[in-house]
Amino acid sequence: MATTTTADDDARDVVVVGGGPGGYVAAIKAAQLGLRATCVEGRGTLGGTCLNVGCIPSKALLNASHKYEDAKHGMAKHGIAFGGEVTIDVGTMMAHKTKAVTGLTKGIEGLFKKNGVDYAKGWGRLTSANEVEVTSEDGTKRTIKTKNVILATGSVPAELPGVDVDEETIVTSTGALELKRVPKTMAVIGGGVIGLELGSVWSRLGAKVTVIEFAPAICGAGIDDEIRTTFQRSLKKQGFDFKLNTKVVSAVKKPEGGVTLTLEPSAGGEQTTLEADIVLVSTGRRPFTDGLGLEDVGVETNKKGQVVIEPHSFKTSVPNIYAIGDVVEGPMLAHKAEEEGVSIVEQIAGKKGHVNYDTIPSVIYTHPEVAWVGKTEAQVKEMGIEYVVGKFPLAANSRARANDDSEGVVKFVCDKATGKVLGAHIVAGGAGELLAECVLAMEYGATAEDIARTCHSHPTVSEAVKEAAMAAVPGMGSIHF
Amino acid sequence: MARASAARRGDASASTRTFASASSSDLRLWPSVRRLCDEHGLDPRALAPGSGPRGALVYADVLLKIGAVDAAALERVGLRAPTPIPDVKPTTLLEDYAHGKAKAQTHEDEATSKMRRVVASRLAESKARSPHAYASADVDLSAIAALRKRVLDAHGVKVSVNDCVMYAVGRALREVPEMNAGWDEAAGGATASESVDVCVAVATDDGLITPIVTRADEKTLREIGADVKALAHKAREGTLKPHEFMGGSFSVSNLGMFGVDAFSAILNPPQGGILAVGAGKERVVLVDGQPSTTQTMTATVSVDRRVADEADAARWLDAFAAQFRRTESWAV
Repeated sequence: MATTTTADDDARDVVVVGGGPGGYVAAIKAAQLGLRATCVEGRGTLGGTCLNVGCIPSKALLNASHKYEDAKHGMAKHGIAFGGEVTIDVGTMMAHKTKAVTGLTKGIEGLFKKNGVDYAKGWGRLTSANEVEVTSEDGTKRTIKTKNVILATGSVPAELPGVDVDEETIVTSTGALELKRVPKTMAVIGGGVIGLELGSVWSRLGAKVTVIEFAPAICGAGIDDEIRTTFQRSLKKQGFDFKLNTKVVSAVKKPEGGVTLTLEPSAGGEQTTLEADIVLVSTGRRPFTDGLGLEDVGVETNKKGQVVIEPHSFKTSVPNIYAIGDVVEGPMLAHKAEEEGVSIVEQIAGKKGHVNYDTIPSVIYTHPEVAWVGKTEAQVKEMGIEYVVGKFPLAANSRARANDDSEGVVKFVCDKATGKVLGAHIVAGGAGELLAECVLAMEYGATAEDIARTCHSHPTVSEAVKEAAMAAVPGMGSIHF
Repeated sequence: MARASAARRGDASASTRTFASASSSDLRLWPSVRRLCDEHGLDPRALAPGSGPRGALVYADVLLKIGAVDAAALERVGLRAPTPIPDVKPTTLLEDYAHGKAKAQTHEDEATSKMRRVVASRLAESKARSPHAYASADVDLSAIAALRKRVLDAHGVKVSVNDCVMYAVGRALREVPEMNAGWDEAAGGATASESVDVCVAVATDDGLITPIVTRADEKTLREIGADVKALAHKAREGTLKPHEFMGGSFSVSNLGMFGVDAFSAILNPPQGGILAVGAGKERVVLVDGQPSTTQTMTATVSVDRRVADEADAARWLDAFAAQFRRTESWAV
């Protein structure tokens, strides 16, 4: 195997290992700041999990399946009729999704060229604190000398003991994005964001979806209880079945196709079975550091497999090696990785970079969407702070009603003494977009009154945000509810 | 809540005032901040920087200012209330520079020390808040040389011209107590000081600090001289206790050793007066219509016009100058 080493004048300022949202953004930013940057990615395409098997393909399928469902069930009341029956061709849908993905991954390559980022195709491994060895598909190795290393190797779906994934019948999110046909029944193990979104896709296309969740509630601890209840009710109306407080003991593939799951209450007890054509394992994700050579170089990882870093400086246990994104602690979100990527590169370039972890929003891209930023009512209660809640139902928003898309609520949680907005929570079509105003407001310490006294266009759904803010101001109250 | 009651009264003028006031285009103000400031007649610019992220002025800052919440309420939601500025007095007396005892100021970009920042902030506040009025007079120093010689011969002690200034200041403050007062922000009025405690500036490596010569109106010239020497030494050693430099009822600033003829000093809040003295110079005067020369220095007193008026300042200046015409009666 030929091994080449870069000459010293080719030494880089930054080598980013991983070309996902954290990595490629960091690489582009580095180049923009005048640093010599290389991005190492072995997948064959840039964009990481997000672009290839995560955010983008799932949103593309959510969009397509939403159109299908709307066409199938939502037209008659408007007087719109189709000649025959509305059908779905999964192959065509997948091809279109792939086209969107490919366009974007090629786009990142274009951005690399435009900004002068060196794209090293292959899997990276640390051979020293200043050297990254890249092994390409044909086995050739190349060592890149560098001043700094940014680890952005992201995460992969977590394994579930007793349930072996084959990405055909028992799938992770990767396989769920590539199913060949609409399953009649689908079991989703893990009632988190990923499971609910992908469950939504196939439910809309005709599958009967059952969500099995170990905890007493879906979506985990970061979501507001009231919002979660509203959300779950909506999913139930859409045909979801929920088995909460339930664990999956084993999954057995049937010779005729399909899977038999053995279920048990989480605390233990009587076992039951559930049959499903397709099983989606979406119990979480774990940091990916396989083959990186961390132990050889002395980069410390913790029990969860995360690379240990100093908060805000992203320093690992080895000077000049940094880590960001899903591979370190914090919410496993693409935008969090992007913020960290920009921050560390700015710091390397001698500037100040800062990530505000208090205002990182979360979005679930079902319909209606769920989006939130800041603290839940329960978290504020736990802080011992006296608080005020302001709510507004989408059903009272004129645009939402006109658009026939009025399921949902906007909820603000504010500090009683100072009025400061501590948390904003939205269930609505386009909640992710509506939340942006709340994130900006919280970024500058706003009160609900500040949002309430800002003019919002009429008729827009954003007025629901304004009205909820009004409801959160003692002595003010909303006008339209 | 004030706003709610305004609405109930149907007080349209309150809301009109909100629209018309402080142009929001040149200030980045949250609407709630603008409203509450308008309702309480507060200038939001005076409240900045606030306790919000990146110094943003937030509603809570105004609430704190009007006393509707305490600092703890801000801390609870992660707002850092601006820390109160300690009571450090700035002046411009540079005696130690003249005597070569202070470190030469080379042109380096050194980080502003905490003390300097506090001093800078207090000076800015003083100039902006207190209405300064000034009065000047030329003081006859011709008797001072003889006085200093007398003290040296009789007691073997050197007293400086500035020690003499401090003595005269103390006596004058006893004679015109209106100038020995300060402005009480909380009470919203002038308060007379119980004792005559005069601040004198000393240059240290960390900047100027102003130790206090207490009961300056009662002490002898030598006692004042000894006090100033001791305090200056402690200041340079950094061993001054807080009560030794925080407080005082009046200040003295002396730029004479730099050949400055006259200048006006900035008040040290909450003090109502400060004296600025220039260099003693040989000047031509008329005595019985005939030209003659004599040593004089220009003394300029700054007064907080809310505490005392120009007449008080004039009377004080006269009393101060008069001291220099009867040095034989000084308690040395």
